[in-house]
Amino acid sequence: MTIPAVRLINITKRFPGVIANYRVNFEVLPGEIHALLGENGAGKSTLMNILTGLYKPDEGEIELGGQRVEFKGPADAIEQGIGVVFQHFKLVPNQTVAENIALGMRRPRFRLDLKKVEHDLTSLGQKMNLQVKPSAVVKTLSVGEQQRVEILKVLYLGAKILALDEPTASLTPQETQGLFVALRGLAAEGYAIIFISHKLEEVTSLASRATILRKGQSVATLDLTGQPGEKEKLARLMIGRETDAETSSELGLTTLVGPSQVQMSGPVVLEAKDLSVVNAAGQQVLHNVSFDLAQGEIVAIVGVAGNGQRELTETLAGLHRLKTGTFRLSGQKLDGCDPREISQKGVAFVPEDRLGMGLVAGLDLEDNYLLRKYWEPQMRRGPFLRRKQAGVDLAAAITHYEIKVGDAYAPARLMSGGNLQKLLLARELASQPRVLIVANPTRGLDIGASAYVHERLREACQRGAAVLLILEDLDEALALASRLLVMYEGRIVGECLPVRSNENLQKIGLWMAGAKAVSTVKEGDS
Amino acid sequence: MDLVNLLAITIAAGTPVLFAVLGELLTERSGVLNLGLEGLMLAGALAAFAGTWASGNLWVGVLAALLAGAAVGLIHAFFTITIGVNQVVSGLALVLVGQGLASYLGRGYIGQVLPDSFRPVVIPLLGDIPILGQVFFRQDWLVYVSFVLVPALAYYIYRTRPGLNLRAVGDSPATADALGISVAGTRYTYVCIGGALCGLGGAYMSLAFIPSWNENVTAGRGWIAVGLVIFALWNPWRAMFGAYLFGFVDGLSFELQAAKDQIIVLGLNLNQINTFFLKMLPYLVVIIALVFSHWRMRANRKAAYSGPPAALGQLYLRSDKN
Amino acid sequence: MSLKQESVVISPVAPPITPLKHKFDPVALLINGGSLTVAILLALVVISIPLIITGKDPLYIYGQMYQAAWGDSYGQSETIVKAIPLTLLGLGVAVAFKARLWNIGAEGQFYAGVLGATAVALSFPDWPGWLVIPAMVLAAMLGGALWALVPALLKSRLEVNEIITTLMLNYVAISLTNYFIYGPWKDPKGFNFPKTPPFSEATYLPVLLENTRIHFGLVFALVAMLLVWLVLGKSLWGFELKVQGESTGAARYAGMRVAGNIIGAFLISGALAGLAGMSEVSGIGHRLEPNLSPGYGYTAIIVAWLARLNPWIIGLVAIMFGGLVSSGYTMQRLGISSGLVTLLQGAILFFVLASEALSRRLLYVRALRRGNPET
Repeated sequence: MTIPAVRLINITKRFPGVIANYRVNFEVLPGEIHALLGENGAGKSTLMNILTGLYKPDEGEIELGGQRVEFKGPADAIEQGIGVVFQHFKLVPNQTVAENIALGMRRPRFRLDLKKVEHDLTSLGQKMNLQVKPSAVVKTLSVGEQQRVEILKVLYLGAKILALDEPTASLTPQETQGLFVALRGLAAEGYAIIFISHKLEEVTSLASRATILRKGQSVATLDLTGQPGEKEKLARLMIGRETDAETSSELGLTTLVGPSQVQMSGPVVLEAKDLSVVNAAGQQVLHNVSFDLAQGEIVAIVGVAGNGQRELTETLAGLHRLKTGTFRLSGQKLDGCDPREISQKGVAFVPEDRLGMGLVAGLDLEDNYLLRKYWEPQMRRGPFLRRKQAGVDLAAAITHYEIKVGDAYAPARLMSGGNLQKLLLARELASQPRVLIVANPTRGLDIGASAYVHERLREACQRGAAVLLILEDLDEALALASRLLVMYEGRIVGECLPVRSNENLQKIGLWMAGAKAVSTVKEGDS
Repeated sequence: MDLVNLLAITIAAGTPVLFAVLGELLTERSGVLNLGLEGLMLAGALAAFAGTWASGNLWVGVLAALLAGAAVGLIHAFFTITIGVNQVVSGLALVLVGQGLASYLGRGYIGQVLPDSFRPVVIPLLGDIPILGQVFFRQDWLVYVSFVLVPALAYYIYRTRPGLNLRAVGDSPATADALGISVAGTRYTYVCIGGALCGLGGAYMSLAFIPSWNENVTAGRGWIAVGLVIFALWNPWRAMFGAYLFGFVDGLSFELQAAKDQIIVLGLNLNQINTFFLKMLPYLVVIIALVFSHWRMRANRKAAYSGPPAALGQLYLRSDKN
Repeated sequence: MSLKQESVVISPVAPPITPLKHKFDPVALLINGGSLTVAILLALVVISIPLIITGKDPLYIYGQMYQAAWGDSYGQSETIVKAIPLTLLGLGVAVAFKARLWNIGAEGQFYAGVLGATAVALSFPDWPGWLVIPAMVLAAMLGGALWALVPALLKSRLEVNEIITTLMLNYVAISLTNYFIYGPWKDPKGFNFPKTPPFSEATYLPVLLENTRIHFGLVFALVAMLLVWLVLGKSLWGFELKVQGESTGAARYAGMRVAGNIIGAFLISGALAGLAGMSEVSGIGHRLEPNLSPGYGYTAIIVAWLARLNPWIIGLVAIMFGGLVSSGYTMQRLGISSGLVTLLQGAILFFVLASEALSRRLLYVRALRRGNPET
């Protein structure tokens, strides 16, 4: 029997008020790709942080190659051949690729020989199918490239055990395929690979075994054989109950596209023409973006993060000055209006940055509820705020939106992501907007909270609002939207229906990667 | 007033600020903002004076200044890194502590004469070069120390492993932490080293530039240094330029006040400028320099080097669970 | 215009809604209050180290300081006199701090106000009180506001660090004041001493209490407390300052005019500092001499911070620090440097900051525990 490259035995880790891991057992063999499966908040990240020596487990043991080890810190774990690629890359954005890789090395002690590092990197990259320019400054690289840097970094530091945390979250389908090729190659070389994900499709196509974490506990380890019904079994183990239609589509188990979802019949509510925006650094971030949004439809804009989606939503909310173009709400001109006027006219905006823009981390819920309401007539008396009214409205919102709060007058940063998102939705939906712009509303939320958000969006849409949705996760977009637009480098490069056919996916992937395309819904629109 | 003399004074007047700017530059590179330079310099100046007064040896005074600066820096490190106090306010408190200490403990030294002070030493050969030699190589030992320190720090920050680690901690502490670099340890180290260098700047005031003791011997130079770090864009060579720019203005106002003959530039009689306006000049120049560098930073926001360390002023806690 | 064409009830059966209330939290109060007391005691203990080193008896010194500030009615009245400028300056600083603008230029804005008031007083020696005093107030507030306008514009237009600019301008203001005292405004009958001629009696702020120096500036301070409380705590604009102080991103998202608010906050901050300058020169000095302020502008920063920007508490803390400042003068008479008082201020600030940070962490952990009831 092969000795596992790494074995975690009965690991328990507690935080103030939370048990993140409870008696978790997990092992990987050399040359194996082993998936670690679980919802957000199931304890995957904590487990990885224990494996990298960032956290010390409160109980339990770690064995490497059959030897019991104890990590004093991350340096120890690296020394022992463990390398982790985190979902949020741990790279210094202002340093070059070579500097970032030299950063993790122990030797030489004093003088840096960056030329040598650059040379080594080039050859390692070629060998492992992970090319990237060593002298490039990291912040100028794409997400896919940064991920390659991360993998190269851990390989360069001599890792034999490689853990990847949600590595495909913001890659195009093609980039994902490229990553899988590289990972299979590494496994063939004898590396032990831990693949952390909640996407069943990817897990079953890549890994040979899977361990499922639920609520901090390891509930099962399965050999993946590709039998029918396997994904459903994994899903059941992961969420601890039978999957309903909602969660199935969430997990990508079924394709939920019926004619009921494609509602293009309503009148056009939001009309954007030829939008171009230049950012503070002088770069053009939007190039002549045009689209229509009809009443009752959910349009998802998909694409790799950083291709202008964020700027587009902010522009529509009135946060950027237009270089060219115009946008109208039922014929009424919105460009040139400030964010308050746009909100008053009936365009709500739920930004991606929940605690930096949408809500204020240091303020309590009442202040946060007032953030985009304090100007309303019922909230003020002359130049003064009517706090009492705000308290009443907030209490109503907390009840209606099932927001769980310990103390409404504690800072918002103490709330969970799901509750923050509910509060944001409550505020933005309170005035029954005609257009709702929502950016990555389910990022970091667990399946339950995601489903809740989706339900609210569908509800708004049924009420007659038009929803513009920015999503990075293609599966989610396919499940939720009635129409897809693909953005690349500040342009809308493609449009299609949310059909989960191989042909369609292929096409979307090419668009996301920058291939030229035309609309397949109607002719000559964009 | 002759130009060579003015330039020589420029170097001397710029040196105490240069030490402080270099110190703060290291501190800020690690991600900690220390606004307490004025207090650190005063503590250093007092320690230097007291050390020299007691021992009769200038280098004992210098050592005392380094230690005093590091010790006061340690207070800032403890409160901001370990306790998690707001860095801006902690820096302000540090100024009060430094001023209070200098005033309270230094009371007995007012009017005392030092047994020795740093005097210009002519470097053989180099000192004989016309103009350049007179400006740069007829200075005191501490100035020569600063000449070595600037290139050494530039090399250290950009070309060595500890320098790379330092930049990583200031730019992205989570990354550094994940790679096993101690964020708190690095920050403690550089806050103390930075403090020691500020102390050295203070020592230059009380042992070389003035050299005597009064309770406001630094006269705002610590604050000027804080401003010049931004002007320097966290780079030692630019720090040198900024410090000498200040030194030039400071020296100029000093020379103009001392000059006996009339100095007429572009038909303007400079002697007639009021002393108090000359005294304002260095502070105004710092504001102008700051405006200039911000305007530049805006112009090339895309460039990798241009901004402050990304994590400057932020507390780093590892406890983020998710 | 109204866009609500249809009214939709979100949930068909609305559960009863109880209005929210601020919870009274005795543990939080205990942690906050207890840590504050401990902090001040610790500061006193730590500062006794240099006292002992220099051969002084800390208990005796502290006793003397207390006596000086609170021992008799004269000491008490002097404490109040010092608390007046500290309150006004502290309130000014608090307005800027609320928007997270580090205005540490209160000292310079104070002097700019002094210059404005003095200019009026010296230019119009014949004006009656009802005319000259409002004119001085106006000139002083204008002077302070103008002095704050420079950093405000640089901050809002170019994002120039306001800490440095406000501080540099302090030195400039003091030099400018000295220029006037030693130059154009020097009293020709003053035996060449650096001071202006005495102001006309019409410019004197009335004394409120016989045999003390407590003057009408106290009323300025009380009115300013009320107004700042209304503006920061109750008004829409105060809400905007609070939001943009926490997050400019959120402020823009809420359609706030961030740059305009920066300028507004700075102007008010400077105007209050200028008013403090006027009340000092017109209520106490009655002529302008160098070193009118023993560093009030810096002490006010501590006052505002310790009071957590609450206007009423600023008044209380200002009285405490007024006592400290006035005992500084007594220390000098006893042959001890007033640096001791500065040192004490620094130490108190450090320990209070630390206690704040620690109790915040304690409360945070507690809130985390509460926020996750399921585990």
